Amino acid sequence: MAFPKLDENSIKAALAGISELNFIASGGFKGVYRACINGNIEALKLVMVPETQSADEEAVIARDELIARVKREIQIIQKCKSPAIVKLGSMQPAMANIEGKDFIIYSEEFLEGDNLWVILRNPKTAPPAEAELKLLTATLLTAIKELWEYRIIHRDIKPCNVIKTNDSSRQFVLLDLGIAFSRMDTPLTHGWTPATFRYFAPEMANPSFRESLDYRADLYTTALTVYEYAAKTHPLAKDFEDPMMTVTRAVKEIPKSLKALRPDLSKDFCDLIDTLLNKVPALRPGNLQMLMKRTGGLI
Amino acid sequence: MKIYAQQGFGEGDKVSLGFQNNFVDGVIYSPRHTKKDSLIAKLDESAKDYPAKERYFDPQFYAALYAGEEDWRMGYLEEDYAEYFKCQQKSVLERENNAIACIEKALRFQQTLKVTGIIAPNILISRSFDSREAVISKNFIRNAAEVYSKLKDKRPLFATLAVSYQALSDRAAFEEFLNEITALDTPPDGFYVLISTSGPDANEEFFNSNTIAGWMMLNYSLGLNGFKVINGYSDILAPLLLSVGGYGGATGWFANLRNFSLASFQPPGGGRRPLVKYLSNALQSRITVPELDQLRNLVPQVLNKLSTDSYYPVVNSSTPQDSSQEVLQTWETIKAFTDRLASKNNIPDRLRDYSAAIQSARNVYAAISKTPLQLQNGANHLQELEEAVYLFTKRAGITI
Repeated sequence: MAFPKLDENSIKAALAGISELNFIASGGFKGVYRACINGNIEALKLVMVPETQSADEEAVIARDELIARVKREIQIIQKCKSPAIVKLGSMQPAMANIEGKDFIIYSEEFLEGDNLWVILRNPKTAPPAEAELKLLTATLLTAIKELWEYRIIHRDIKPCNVIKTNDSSRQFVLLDLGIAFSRMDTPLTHGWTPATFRYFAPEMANPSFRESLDYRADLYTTALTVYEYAAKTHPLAKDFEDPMMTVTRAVKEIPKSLKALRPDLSKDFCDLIDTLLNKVPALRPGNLQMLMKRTGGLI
Repeated sequence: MKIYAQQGFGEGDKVSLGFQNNFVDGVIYSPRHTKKDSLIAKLDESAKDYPAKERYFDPQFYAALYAGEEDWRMGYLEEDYAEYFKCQQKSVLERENNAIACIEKALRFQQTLKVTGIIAPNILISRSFDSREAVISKNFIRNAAEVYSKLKDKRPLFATLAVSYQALSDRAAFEEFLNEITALDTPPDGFYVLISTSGPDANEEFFNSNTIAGWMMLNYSLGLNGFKVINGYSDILAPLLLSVGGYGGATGWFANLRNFSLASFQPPGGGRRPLVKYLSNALQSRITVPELDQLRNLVPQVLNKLSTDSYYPVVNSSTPQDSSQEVLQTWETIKAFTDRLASKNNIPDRLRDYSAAIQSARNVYAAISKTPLQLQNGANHLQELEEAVYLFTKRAGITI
């Protein structure tokens, strides 16, 4: 079910303290708006809770899972202190009924800037320099490090979920912990794997991945993101390709070295990204301290 | 990249000569072959005379599962090292608390010794990474650093990973095991890796492309993840293992110190006095003294042109005069080849150089084939080494 098109006045009517409101994007059950909440610009997030009949057991499970995911996402953001990860806004999570549908509503800080997908797909933007790529890598490593301290794997690091801000002291920020995986809590999904297939760590294809998944899956997707941002082309996936083919490539195909597409970048940096794209987690350099050192340190 | 003396029976002055000549960077002691008093004295002496050399103690706990077997030879282990070594059963070690107790005893014992690093105990995974033994082994590895942290010792800790060559051939189970040990919550500083074969003469198991490629993968993966890897009993494979990320390799004077096997604990099956050999870097193999004596004029490339060549004097039909000289020649030769590979900047360059050395060895063997001499061991190992490099680069995604 897709996120419905809502009348902005209906949202304003349902929620107190909102003056300006502009739709930004939607995906799955989630919609994001740029909103002025009690005088501050924030990102307003609406998550539609699907209607279910109590007799439809599967639908009830799916709805409960969705609610649990939103709760987990909010809890994780609350815990994380690193500037590399998005922060919550002033609006506390609450339920609201808008145009006859139930929504969980909360806000995050609004980050002025574009996501990396928009930037890399713009033919007019020049390929980023090595210093910027290192900063991006270091930012994502910082986020991974903090998440892993709570035994959390983001599982959805991709260009769309990284904002390049206009703030030079905080140039990149990682968003959307909607499908984060916790090694400590009970798994929220049963029988399926939530993922963006274009940014899929090969170990996720293993049916028993839940037993062994760790932060190295995020290292892999970090490398995919940095590679694609640097080369303006995905190392494995092709546009409009069948998702199963993309997953097969993730599991089996060895990507071209980043150096082949960006010969101007240093060998050391390209080697690092190439090695992080190894199919076997144990063959990715997993020592975060060592990785930080190679990319310029903690953000 | 370090080369260590793998100590064992009949040490004499071999280790101290290795230190004196700077052919080895340290020593790994075998309690099975060394009385406790003697061990303490040796460690004290080398700490005083050669403070820069590294000193380790292999607790040889992997033999504990067999200590109750009739006629198995545990040497001094059961009497002199009873503080941590006693007969064990798998069913007992499966309980994590029992494993922790064993680890603690072995670590506490080593704390009292003048070693420069501590080696945690473990059992041998004798068949597969997907086995009861592998679960016990993982428990030992997982708990080693946690137990050690409570002892407040500053010396580096190495977890033992002892595994049979067969286990390396199940790639999926091996990679899963690697994934787990490279993501420990409390990791050790390094690993003491032992790859076992069925016996000291099991050359086909030791010089097997799958065994070598798997051993290389262990070094590469653990090195990549910041661990120091000491490869016990690695002998002439040491330079190759160190060139893909290993920290140290070790070898000794007898065949059972060049190739790890629990067979050396089994009842003796008789045998003959080993022939004295010369390790030739140009052949990547050993040749007997009579072979050397004939070849040194016909195909002089077999000589390493190192200082220890003088231990095989022409005037004495190339026969060393002293029993310690053979191992000194081995250490110097392995060290020289390791240093050559270490001078290259990165793994692909080192592997390219190694492949060039194999190609060059083929040429030397071709030259030997034109002489009337028939070598006791042929050039089959070169094929295995070449194949191992190929398999490793393919699995690790390295282009050379």
